[in-house]
Amino acid sequence: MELEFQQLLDNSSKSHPLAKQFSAAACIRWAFGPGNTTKAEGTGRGIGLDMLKNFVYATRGILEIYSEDGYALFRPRKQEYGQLSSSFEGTVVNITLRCDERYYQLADERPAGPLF
Amino acid sequence: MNLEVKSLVGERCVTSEDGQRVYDKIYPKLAAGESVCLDFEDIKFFASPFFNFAIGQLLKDLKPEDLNELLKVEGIVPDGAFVWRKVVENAKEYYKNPEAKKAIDEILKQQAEDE
Repeated sequence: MELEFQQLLDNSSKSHPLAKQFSAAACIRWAFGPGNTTKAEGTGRGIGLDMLKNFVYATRGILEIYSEDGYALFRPRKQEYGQLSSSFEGTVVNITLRCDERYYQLADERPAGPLF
Repeated sequence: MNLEVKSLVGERCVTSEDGQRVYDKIYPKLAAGESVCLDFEDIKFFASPFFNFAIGQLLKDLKPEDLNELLKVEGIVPDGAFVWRKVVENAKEYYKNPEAKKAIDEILKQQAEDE
């Protein structure tokens, strides 16, 4: 499954003041950090990409993101952030999933407890 | 109060806007000390943006122990419960140090305005 987004990271990401200080690879790495978000106000956010990464790991799939001159690659037992030799406007996301229920381990294995 | 989430937002609990709609329904009740039950029957798709706004922001000014007492959940599939817990963990961290978070937010806003 290949997904192409002209602007996966929305305009707020591109114009984020910290983005200008770091490479595209560093920005991608930051974006995957749990709780990291470009939204300046509001409630807690920024866990979606981390959850996606963990879901791909749990299903032993592959996740690739290419944005400008940076990329991130996640596959079983390997995590890599790096710089591409050339740059392009936009973002490409490739997600390879194993359609096998034996690999589906997303359910929290911790015992049920309080909701908060 | 019993809220059938499907009747309010449909079969997918995904968007932040839908989460805000749930929050707008339940927050006044919870803030007033009234019990709320969220029924997720027939909902199979969940994403963190929905829960960020539906329940994560409850932690802004309601205590976890009060929420555990007042807010009940029914009919949620394990995947939904997983996302719920992740969101709550993240929200707790976000609100743990509100002064530091506010300072960072204000710095970022000011820098954005200076650009």
